[in-house]
Amino acid sequence: MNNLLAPILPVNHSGQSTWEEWLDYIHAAAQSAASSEQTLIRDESWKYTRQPAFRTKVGTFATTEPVIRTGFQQTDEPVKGRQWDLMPLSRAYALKPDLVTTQFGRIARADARLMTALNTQAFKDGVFLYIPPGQVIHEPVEIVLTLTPSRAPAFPRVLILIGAGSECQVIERHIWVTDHSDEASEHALRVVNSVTEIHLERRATLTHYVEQQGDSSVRTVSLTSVCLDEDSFYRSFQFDGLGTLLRHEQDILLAGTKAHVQLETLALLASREHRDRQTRISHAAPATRSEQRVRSVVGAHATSIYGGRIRIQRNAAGSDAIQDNHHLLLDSSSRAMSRPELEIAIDDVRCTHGSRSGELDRDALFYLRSRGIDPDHARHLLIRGFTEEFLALIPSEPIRIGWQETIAKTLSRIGEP
Amino acid sequence: MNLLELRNLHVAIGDRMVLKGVNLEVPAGELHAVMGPNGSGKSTLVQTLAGAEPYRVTDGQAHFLGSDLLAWTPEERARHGLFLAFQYPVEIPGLGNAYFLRSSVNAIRRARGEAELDAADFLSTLRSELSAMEMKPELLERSVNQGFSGGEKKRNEILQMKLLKPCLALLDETDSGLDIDALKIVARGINAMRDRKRGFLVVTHYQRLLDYVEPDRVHVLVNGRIVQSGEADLAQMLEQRGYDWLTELSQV
Repeated sequence: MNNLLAPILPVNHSGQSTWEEWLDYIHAAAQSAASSEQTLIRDESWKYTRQPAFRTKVGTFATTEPVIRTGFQQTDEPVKGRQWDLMPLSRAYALKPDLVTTQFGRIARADARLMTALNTQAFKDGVFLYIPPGQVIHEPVEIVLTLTPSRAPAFPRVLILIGAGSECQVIERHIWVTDHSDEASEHALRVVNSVTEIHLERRATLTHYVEQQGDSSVRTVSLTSVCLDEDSFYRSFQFDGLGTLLRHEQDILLAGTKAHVQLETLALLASREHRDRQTRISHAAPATRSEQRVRSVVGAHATSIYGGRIRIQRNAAGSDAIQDNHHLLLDSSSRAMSRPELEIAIDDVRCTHGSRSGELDRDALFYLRSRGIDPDHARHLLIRGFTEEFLALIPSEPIRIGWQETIAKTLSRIGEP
Repeated sequence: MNLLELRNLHVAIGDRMVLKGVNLEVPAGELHAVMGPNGSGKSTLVQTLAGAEPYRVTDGQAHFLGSDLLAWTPEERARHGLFLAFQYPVEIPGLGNAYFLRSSVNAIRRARGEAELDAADFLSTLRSELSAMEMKPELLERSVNQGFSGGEKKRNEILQMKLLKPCLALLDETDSGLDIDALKIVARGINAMRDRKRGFLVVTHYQRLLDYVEPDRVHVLVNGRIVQSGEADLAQMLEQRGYDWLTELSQV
């Protein structure tokens, strides 16, 4: 096994201790990781986004209460007779201690990133999804993370394990909207630091839909960390709606031969908003494949950042990596920055990347106007076309239609007709 | 009645003068061809008439249906019945062709005070025109012009012309890049639209299209000016003699 996957948190509790004891142990281990020198090395990927400040004393945080839904029906308890598990992490610890203690923190490593360390030392509970080997789940599993009314920072945590040969779809909704009935919260900036870690065993397939919605009072930093074994396929469709500051990181480790990852993202930025997307893909086995398309629609005075690192290791012969990034700037005051980083250790690979930022295509605008379409509507059609390119890739029709409506509403809030 | 009247039209791109005094009249019911060597200003002429941005009219007038064409925005020109079939139709990723066509037809119907077509009504009209142009139905589902072959793009332009039913159609090198079968289909589309009221200004480099679409008049544009006008046989003479003798004539 790749030594990157060695558990950072030594497994010394095989379910005998209580959840609270295990949690204390994890918190303490993460705290020491966070204070280690390695984690504190200045991380260049934060160049354009200020790291949120946390009080890092353990035990003072409120946390989100994860709302768990399966399909589109809400259930809080595990469903009997079902071949797979979706439950709070604390419950999973009681029922499947070996899985939780061996897999938690293994992919999203507390010693790798400061934000992950902070999440790991502060989370109170999380969501646990386990699909045993050989299961094909047709109904989508929906996980909704929302904020409880409070001004305290929140540390949501999700652990997803997909067994060998299994297939499923997961919808993860992050609804970071504060409760405006609490007057004080309108002025305070709420911080959310969420971590989702996913492990796909051999020949597993996961289609992962992630939607983030924020508002003007929330700053969020989220990480999705995925490890793929041999012949597994992870594809994710991420849609970032509004939010003053959203930063999303995706760490992908292609650990097994012929593992394949596809990342498709769309962000919509209203006036003065800030979005930062960082992808780090590591090809650590032969014939692995990665493709990513990162798109953003950037409103006036808004800033869209993209950093994409592709690392092809020496043992990853025959690998293929495609990276494409397109910022659509709606105004001359819209800003975008792209920073592709390719680190390729061998010759026998194919790696392509492209990055564009620009305003709406003038030729296309003229073409539409020459067909009698007024300029505002022509603009609308072109922006819609840009978002449709993302939507057209989505295999699930209900999700595609739902996001189509959300995108239309969001664009009207950005001030586009 | 003249649909189009150009008087001493001068057009520049940046500082470079491309059209240096074009005079032209296209009466209702006639099809005029504009021929000329590469770089003579043929495309500039029709792009300017459609209102494309980089072209700047520095002198002269253009009247369309008796009104000042140059005072109108591109969409106003289209709504008054002017249509340009592009030499290089623009690809628009993510915008479905059928949706685009309906948006366009309805924009023009609204401007004419006609009721908008709903999706079902429009689709039945569209389907019959599509088969007349021998276009595959899946071209409606794709993004505008994206993944279309050169010939499919040109047919898509003629399809738009047939749907929008303009008073005056400007066709910019619609024959270029077409094989003989596609050329015949495009020509058939143009001929089907010809009637006593409608006019055409067909820009072409070769006489090939004019074997299938018979012009009422042929104009030769050289170095930004019309140096010769004549009947259909002028096109055949150009095919045999080339443009060199006219280039010399224009420099006198």
